[in-house]
Amino acid sequence: MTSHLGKIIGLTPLVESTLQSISEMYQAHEAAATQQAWIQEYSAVLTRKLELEQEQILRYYELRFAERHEALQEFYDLLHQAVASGNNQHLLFALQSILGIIKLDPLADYDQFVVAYRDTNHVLEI
Amino acid sequence: MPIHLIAIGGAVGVVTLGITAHAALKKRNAKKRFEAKKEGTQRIEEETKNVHRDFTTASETLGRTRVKATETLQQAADYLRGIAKQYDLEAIPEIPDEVLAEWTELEQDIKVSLGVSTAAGATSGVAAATPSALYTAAGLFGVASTGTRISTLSGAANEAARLAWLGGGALTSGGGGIAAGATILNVASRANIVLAPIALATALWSEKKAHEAEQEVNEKIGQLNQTEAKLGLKASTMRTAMLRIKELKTGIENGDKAVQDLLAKARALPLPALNAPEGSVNVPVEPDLHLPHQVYLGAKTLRSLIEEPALNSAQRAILEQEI
Repeated sequence: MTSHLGKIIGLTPLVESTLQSISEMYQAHEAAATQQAWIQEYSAVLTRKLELEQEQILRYYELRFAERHEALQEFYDLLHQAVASGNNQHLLFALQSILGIIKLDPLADYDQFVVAYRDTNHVLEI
Repeated sequence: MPIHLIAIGGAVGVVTLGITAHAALKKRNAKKRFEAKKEGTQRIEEETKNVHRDFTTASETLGRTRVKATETLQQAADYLRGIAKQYDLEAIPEIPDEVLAEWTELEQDIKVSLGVSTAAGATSGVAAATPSALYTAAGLFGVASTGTRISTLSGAANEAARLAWLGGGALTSGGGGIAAGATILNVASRANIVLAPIALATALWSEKKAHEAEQEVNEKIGQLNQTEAKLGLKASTMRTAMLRIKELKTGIENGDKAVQDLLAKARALPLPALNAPEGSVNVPVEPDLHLPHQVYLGAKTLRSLIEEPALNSAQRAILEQEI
């Protein structure tokens, strides 16, 4: 009996070391779980950022095209009036103005705009 | 049976069990994270496909508008040639005949300038194309190729299928691990201590594989993030391009209407007399070419509007980019 007890007491360090290992494993798991959660969160944020970025870029160009549309609409009206009245000067002016606006492609610098938009240090001049 | 051997076996069994369970948990969590990410990417992919559908429709409409305007140009060219013929002129002053000749060939020009038929003899290929595809190409360029690429995106997003370890079978190994742990306890209780280190090594190997799986998921999530970014840029490019397409379409429609109205007006008027009226003293009367000139100016502008590309090189590069 005494010898059995002695052997069990002798095993105490082994039990302690086992418990220690389990504790360390748990801590490692916690740390890994935190890291994975961060990656997941980061990924979700990235997706949302991209969606917002798309919305912002689209909004910016919508405004630019809306401005152009207003100007163009005035020249279209002038064009049709000039055709109806036969006013040569107005006709020429309307045609040149329409072509002048349309030839200027607002999306010509699209790729640069996207890059600049993503660069947080860049100040956009809108 | 020596009690210390049972205790050692038990301790090893507990550790083995813990490691195995932990490995299974890691894999399960990794799978969950990947599935969530994949769903997000598929949603963005679906949205991009919808945008692409709208973009193709808009391009096709622009193509139809362009082709219709081309017919107006041909009518203008015919009218102006008819006027020159009636006055027995080679060409109406300030209206070069080569310009009129160019208008009559514009349909072909459009196809070439839009890259539909660049090679010799490719015209027959264009004729063979479906009307819808032809109009889309006339509106833009080879949108169909972009469509194909987008349609293959499913492959990129579904790369999960290649992760064999993520299959149900691999993940159920967690259950097997627990069973193995239980077996080890059983074995230890029989003092078969030799097998315990083997079981522990197996558990550690399982943990290592779980770690690798986790790393692979992180890598795949990174790739899906990149895919999402590229899809986002494509969708954004198509959305903004649609604004330009709409602008061009309105411009061409207005130009077309103006030329049509001018043509109708010009055709309704009698041609002015070229010869001097009776009684006048050899004063030649110049024909009033006021309206033909207006038709010419309107048609010339319409020609320039038709030619204006819907996409610039930067946009094309983005849309042609592989995902």
